[in-house]
This record gives sequence, C-alpha cells and structure tokens, in this order.
Amino acid sequence: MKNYWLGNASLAKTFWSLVISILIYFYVIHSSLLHKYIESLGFYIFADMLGVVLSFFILGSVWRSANNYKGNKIWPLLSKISLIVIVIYSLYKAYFMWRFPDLINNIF
Amino acid sequence: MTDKIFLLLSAMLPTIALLLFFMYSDKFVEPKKNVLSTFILGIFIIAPLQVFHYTTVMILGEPIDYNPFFRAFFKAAFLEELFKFCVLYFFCTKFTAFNEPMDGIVYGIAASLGFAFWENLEYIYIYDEFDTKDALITVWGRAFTAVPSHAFDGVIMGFFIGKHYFRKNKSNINLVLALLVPVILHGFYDWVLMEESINSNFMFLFMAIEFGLVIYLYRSLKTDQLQKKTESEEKLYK
Repeated sequence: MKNYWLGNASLAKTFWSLVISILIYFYVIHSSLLHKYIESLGFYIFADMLGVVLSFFILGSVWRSANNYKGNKIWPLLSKISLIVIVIYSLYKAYFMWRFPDLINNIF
Repeated sequence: MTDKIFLLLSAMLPTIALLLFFMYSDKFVEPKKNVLSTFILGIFIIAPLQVFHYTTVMILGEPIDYNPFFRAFFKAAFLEELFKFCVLYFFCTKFTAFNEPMDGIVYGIAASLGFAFWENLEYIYIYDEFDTKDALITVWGRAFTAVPSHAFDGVIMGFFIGKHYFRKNKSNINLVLALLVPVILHGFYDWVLMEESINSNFMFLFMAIEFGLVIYLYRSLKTDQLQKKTESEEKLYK
C-alpha cells in the first residue's frame, strides 16, 4: 500500500489495479450488489465516503507514479486526466448528497 | 442498529484516512506511537475547553452570550487553536523523532484530527438524539468541510512550528504565525457559518484559501525533504 501511495510501483500496475478496483467497488459491489442486500442509510453513506477516500488514495498513487514514469508522455497524461474525472465525479456525488439530502431520504 | 454502527464508522473514517494520507506521505515516517499519542492528546483538547466553559459559567452564573463574530474568532478559533498549539509546542517538539520541519506538519495534523474526531462524535451524539438521518447527513457534510478544514489548520500551524523549531535566527515570528494564521482562517470559516447575514457558501472560499496555502507550504517542505534524502543517499554511496 505504501509503495503504491508513494508512487514506487509502475504506472501500468498502479493504474490498472487501482482504477479497475475502484470501478468494481463503485459500480458492481456498492451500487448493484450490496445496495440491494443492505437497506441502511448508514451503510450507504459510509460506502460512498469510503469510495471518496479510495478515489483520493488512487489519485495520489497514480499521480506520483505518473510523475516517476519514464517513457511516452501520453500515458502519464491520460492516466492523470482519467483520475481527475473519477475524483471530480466522487466529489460531485458527495456535494450533491450533502446539498440535497432529501434525495437521499427518497432512496429509503 | 446497523445505521448506528455505520454512523460511528462514518464519523471515524475521514479523520483516520486523512491522518494516514499525511503520515505516509512523509519520506521519513514518524513512529506510530508518537502519532497516536498526539492524536489522543488532540481528542483531550476538549477537556481544557470544557474547563474554560464551566469556569466562565461558575464566575458569571450563566453561559456567555457570544455574538457570532466573537463566538467564531474567540470561542471556536482562538481557544481550539491555542490548545492545539500547546499540544504541538509543549509535547510534540520534545519527541526525539521530531527532527525535521516536515514533522511539525505530521504532528499538527494528528493533533487537529484528534480534535476533529471528537467533535464529529459530539455532533453525531447531539443529532442522533433527534434523528439518525440528520446525524448521518451532518457527518457526511463534515467529512468534506470541517474535518479537512481542521486538518489544513493543523498543517499550517505545524509548518510554522517546524520552521520555528529548526530556525537559524532567534526570531519568534514563526511562533506567532503558527497561532495567528490558523486562528484567522478558522475564525473566518466559522464566522461565515454563524453569521446569518452572510452566505454560508463563503466557507468554501476560506477552505480554498486554506487548501492553496497547505499545498504551497507542503510542497516547499517536500522539496527540501527530497533534497535532504538525495544528499544523504549520495553520502552513503560515496
């Protein structure tokens, strides 16, 4: 974990392992599976908060790994752009939930 | 019951995540025992705050009726930051592991997040008495506003304390800034929330200022640290 966070692992390894795992977390485990079986607002909020924490962890890891990458410049650039999109999405979701809590209430 | 368990976890998660992020971003990671004891001392900042509160009630016979400005700048910002400052200056600087300016930031964060952790628990206790949903939404909002803001204040305070402790001249200006800058930023942040005539969205402006300052201060120390690491590695291989 510390190696990833400090950007010591290779860019390809960091990007694919972490980004794929966060996408699986958001779209498969959290949104589809767990949400169906655990009917708790507390769980829903905790899981989203964990998603934001994970996306920041991935942002830091991939960003540092991209800075250390020696090779074609397109790959670090693309990986940084895709990471920014993930983090903006998770923050947008967070802001939306905070500003419009009634929408959360409607879920349950 | 499930809601209450996740409510508690949600209150703990942002503080612990931020602490781990900053702790492991340090090239020379601080001993866990030191960071944990600072975090716990940060939680106990609530004790002198309560002593102050009850002493004023005993003397005046009733709680002080602060106006929003005074409540934000004195009761919240000044007192909280003052006790965080005491933790850093009288406790953390005595660690043998406190051996570079970056350590000020790590311990500053630990003390601040300890306090933010306790504040979060206090909020969920207050709100949960009425409605668990309200408590959850409050914790959710605080995870992105109050908790990072406390962490940013800790970084700023720790930066100046580190600068003071490893200073080359005898000036105490960094010590004054260590208290003054976080008090001003924390005060403004709270004031726009407490003052009804001001749009509360202005708090994001103060968060942005804090964030910008944190990035700048953190990067300047990080560059020094990387340089120091390279120099020590070069010496090792010579």
